[in-house]
Amino acid sequence: MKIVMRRDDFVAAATDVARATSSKLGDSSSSVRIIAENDSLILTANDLELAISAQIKAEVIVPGSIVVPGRLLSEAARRFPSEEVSMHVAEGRHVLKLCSGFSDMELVGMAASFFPEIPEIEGLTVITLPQAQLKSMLKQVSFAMSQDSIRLILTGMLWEYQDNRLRLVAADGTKVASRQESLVDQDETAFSMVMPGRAVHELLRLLDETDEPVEVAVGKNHCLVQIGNTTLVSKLLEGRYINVDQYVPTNFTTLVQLNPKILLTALDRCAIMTKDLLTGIVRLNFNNQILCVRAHSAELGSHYEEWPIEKNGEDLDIFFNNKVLSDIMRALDYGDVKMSFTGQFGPVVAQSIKNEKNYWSLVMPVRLS
Amino acid sequence: MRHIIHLDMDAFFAAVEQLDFPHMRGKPVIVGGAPNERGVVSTCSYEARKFGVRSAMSLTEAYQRCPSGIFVHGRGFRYREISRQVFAIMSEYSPLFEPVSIDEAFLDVTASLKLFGTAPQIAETIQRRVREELHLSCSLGVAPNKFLAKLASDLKKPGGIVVIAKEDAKALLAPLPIAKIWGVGEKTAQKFHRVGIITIGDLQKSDPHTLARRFGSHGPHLWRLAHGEDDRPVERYDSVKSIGHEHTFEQDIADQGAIKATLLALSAKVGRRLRQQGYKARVIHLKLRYLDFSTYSRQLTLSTGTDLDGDIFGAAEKLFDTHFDGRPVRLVGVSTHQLAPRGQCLEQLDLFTPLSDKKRQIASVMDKIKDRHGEKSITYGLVTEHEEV
Repeated sequence: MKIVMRRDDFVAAATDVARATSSKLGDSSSSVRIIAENDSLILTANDLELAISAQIKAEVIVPGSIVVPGRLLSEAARRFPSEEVSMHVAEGRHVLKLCSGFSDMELVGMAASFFPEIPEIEGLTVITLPQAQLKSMLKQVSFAMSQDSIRLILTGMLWEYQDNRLRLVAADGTKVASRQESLVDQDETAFSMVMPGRAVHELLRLLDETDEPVEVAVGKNHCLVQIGNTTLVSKLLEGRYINVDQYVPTNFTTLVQLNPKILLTALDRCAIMTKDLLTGIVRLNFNNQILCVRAHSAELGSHYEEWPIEKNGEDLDIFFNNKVLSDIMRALDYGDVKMSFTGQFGPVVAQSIKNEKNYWSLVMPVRLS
Repeated sequence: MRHIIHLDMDAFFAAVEQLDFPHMRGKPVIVGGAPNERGVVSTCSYEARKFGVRSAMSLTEAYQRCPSGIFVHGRGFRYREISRQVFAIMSEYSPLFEPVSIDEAFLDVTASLKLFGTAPQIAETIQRRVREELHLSCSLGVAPNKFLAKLASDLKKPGGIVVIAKEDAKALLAPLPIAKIWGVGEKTAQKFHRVGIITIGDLQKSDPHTLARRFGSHGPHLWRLAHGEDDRPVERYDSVKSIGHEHTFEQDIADQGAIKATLLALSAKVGRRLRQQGYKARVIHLKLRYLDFSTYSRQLTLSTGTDLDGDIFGAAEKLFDTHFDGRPVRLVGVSTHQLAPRGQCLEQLDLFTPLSDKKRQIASVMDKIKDRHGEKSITYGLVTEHEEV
């Protein structure tokens, strides 16, 4: 194999791909496969849960392939001095020689034949939407995915597609987020999948704030996302996702309208009084048209502040985990927010006033017991 | 005869505010919140009391009575810090020390008299040290029991020391209103008033048997208090750090079922003690000792504190399943750590887990049965199958 390409293209591709490698050194899941053919270089990482493949333009002098450790490749690529990088693999050897400027580096690799193939996806349904749109949807929802593998299905994100409408849902019991958008000129076949959290995070990273399209293809056990020349393939989480809608209350005792930025700055000040974010509790008190926000720590001190707000319904005294409430507020990026309460121990629904239908989130309070 | 000292800080929270913020000194200070808030006065300085402001009065009323008052929110951490310093001074004079609240405590100095002088002298020393070292004023009562000591500390506030001798108690108590008796709140006082008992003297003259019929077992107890008799000991305060139980098997066993049954029995004992002492634990700890005496300790942190047998066993079982290596076991232990008083545990509510009191109800029924019929009267089915603990 012999190939020449631009360093920056190579660095970008190697970095994107390296994310799909596992940290275990020495087996194929920590490796990246390099294929040189048809004027392009294809880098692929596949740890069997998640695969990422990136294709860049290159001058292929002799086609060929090799597998090398993924982290090493991206670390090396970043450090090359010259704008051009060339790669050689001598016939019959499994050593990748990287040359850039006056520097030569050799990486010990193995034959590409050992590398697991990216699975073929069966029964595809494909939807296309602008990258920026999907990115914003993912951002508003992904924070609610569970970190706790006890309810494995909740560590992923639900994608529901029906009647030209895509809806993303994440929930971990403490919080829920749901966002939907109408898409135009799409495949008519409905689908529902649960994308693993890791794939969601990688996807978020790969998407740009552009109107360039991203294609999502959904099969029986896998999904494939095509972003320009980069492909992400992920296994789907098995099992039924919780029907979150049945838990969303419809009767509320207190309705509040406020600017999430104001509440966020207050929560930020409260965070000073909370030793670690896990146990950091804030107390919200809605008293007439005043919101009191306070935090207290036996060791550190206390914080108190109040804001005028618009409130309808009963006065309320309620506790939250500061981090959870901050995440909810941060995800609402559309101006004023409507918060609907169901009492001291019940769920709270948050919606942007401008975008009430398409996005809502829910947060559970904390109680003293 | 015992020698008990009761210490009560004078207008504690307000005094701390005046100490930390000199501009408040000599002025009416009201701790509790801003005048337009819905709360109540938690403490006010003696200057504020002149205006008729009292603890537990609504802030609005306090403001009406004393518009010139300095209204502040409490600073709990600071009060606790000072409280610890006051209590540290007290503890130097006897290990029999019992805090009642943040600003009052009992000290039994019966065994300290030879070291530090008479009880009134010790009280004077403590008062002087609190004044000199912490710049705060306190009132103390010295008496042969807790009830009289507490009563005495209240008689010459602020800055007083009152000694009540046993023989003076009855006469001293007689003219006081019935509500001065420890444990007589507004409700009980009203009940007494209805039967014509207004002062402690009235209670002294009433018949303890009639009281027993009208007020239950509480009646005779109050009658004894009215006569200045109180035999409750000063209970040493040791903050509970952990609660646990262990069991050594008669023969080393490797049978998982039997070991788990033992873990359940131990968990139930631990849960019972947590509930009895009013704590919830966040950390559950499993100890395993194998036949060769090699010992392993593993722990699990729960998302919220618990005092329920099932939760403790659930964690212990999970730890066991993860770490048990199949060798015969000699000893198992279950203990709980990071204890917090019940009612102060933060619990993140979960949308998908409905609030259920079922487990708590089971625990409370089992506790009631054990209270009446003994600790062995009821247990779990799994435990009875492997009878050993």
